[in-house]
Amino acid sequence: MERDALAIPGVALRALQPQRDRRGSLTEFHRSSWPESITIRQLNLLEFVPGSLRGVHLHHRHWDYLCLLSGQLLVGLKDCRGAAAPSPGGATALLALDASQPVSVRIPAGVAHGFFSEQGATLLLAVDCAWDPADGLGCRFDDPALGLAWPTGQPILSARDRMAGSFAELLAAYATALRHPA
Amino acid sequence: MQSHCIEQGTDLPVGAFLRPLTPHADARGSLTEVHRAEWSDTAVVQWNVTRNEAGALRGMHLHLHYDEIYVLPRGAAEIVLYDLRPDSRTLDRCFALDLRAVAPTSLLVPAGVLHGLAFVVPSLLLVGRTREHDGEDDWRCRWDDPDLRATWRPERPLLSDADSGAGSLAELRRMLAAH
Repeated sequence: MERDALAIPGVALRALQPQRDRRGSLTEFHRSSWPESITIRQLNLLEFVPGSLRGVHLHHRHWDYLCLLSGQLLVGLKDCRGAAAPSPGGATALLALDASQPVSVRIPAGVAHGFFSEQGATLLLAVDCAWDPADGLGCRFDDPALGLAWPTGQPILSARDRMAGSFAELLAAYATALRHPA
Repeated sequence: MQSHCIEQGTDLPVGAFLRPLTPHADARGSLTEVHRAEWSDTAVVQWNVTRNEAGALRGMHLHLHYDEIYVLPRGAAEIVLYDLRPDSRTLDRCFALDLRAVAPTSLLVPAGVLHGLAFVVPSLLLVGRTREHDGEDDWRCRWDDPDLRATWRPERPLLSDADSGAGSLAELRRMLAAH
């Protein structure tokens, strides 16, 4: 699964190294100088109730950088970038994260992504732009054209994610966003 | 939780800043903006995640050239700050405050302010830094030095080897003067 994720250009994984002592541990999550990281403009903390899914979302401008603080999380990735224009034929990956083996994941702009937690999770999610509602496209998590084999058909979704359109519509909106950058 | 210090409450050293954070909850869970670049004058270039046992204490630590930001997603921490900046109007004043995950807040601790954190329950603490860690600019003194005039809640905290072997506040002042 890790190999599949790394087959998507720009996706980067970094094994994080907790330094333990009697007080607990310290884990470096991000350094600006790390080649696998991003310039963090905003850092968010996300709590997932068991059975919840966020996505599938796509940003045409900003990159994400994340690390799981507790629980387990399935990260679904679908590359929507083509050589000249958005393409439905990009690589797909499902990445299983476990907070007991901390790893950071970088997701480039143009790679659609969804996060599912079966048992509940806490996620640290950084972005390299201030939050902009115009940079948040999405589609149904279960559109077969995504090729993401989620282990559930009925996750807890936001109203927006539940009402989202098809993957084909997402690609069309992505192409428009690239042609008309705000 | 209560700490006993000369100054109490939300009184803070000059330049220190407490920012209440707002969790946005929905059926999936919640999202809390922990930090935005425009909230700080200087750029945060490193973020660390620390896990802390009940009774752990990190401190007292001092950095002359970078600020730190603390956010506590889980647990509770008692924080003692002591201003050592010669040009500060809160020089040599001791401050105590609590961070609790149930009321999420970020705390900016400016360079030149000595700081220590004690964890009453198992806690998760995020630490942002305006300079990447390179082993330099890490000054320290004993957490229980009477000159700090701080009374901590834990009596026998879990300390790192470096913190349990740290010198007095007076020794730290002498090292800073010679620096």
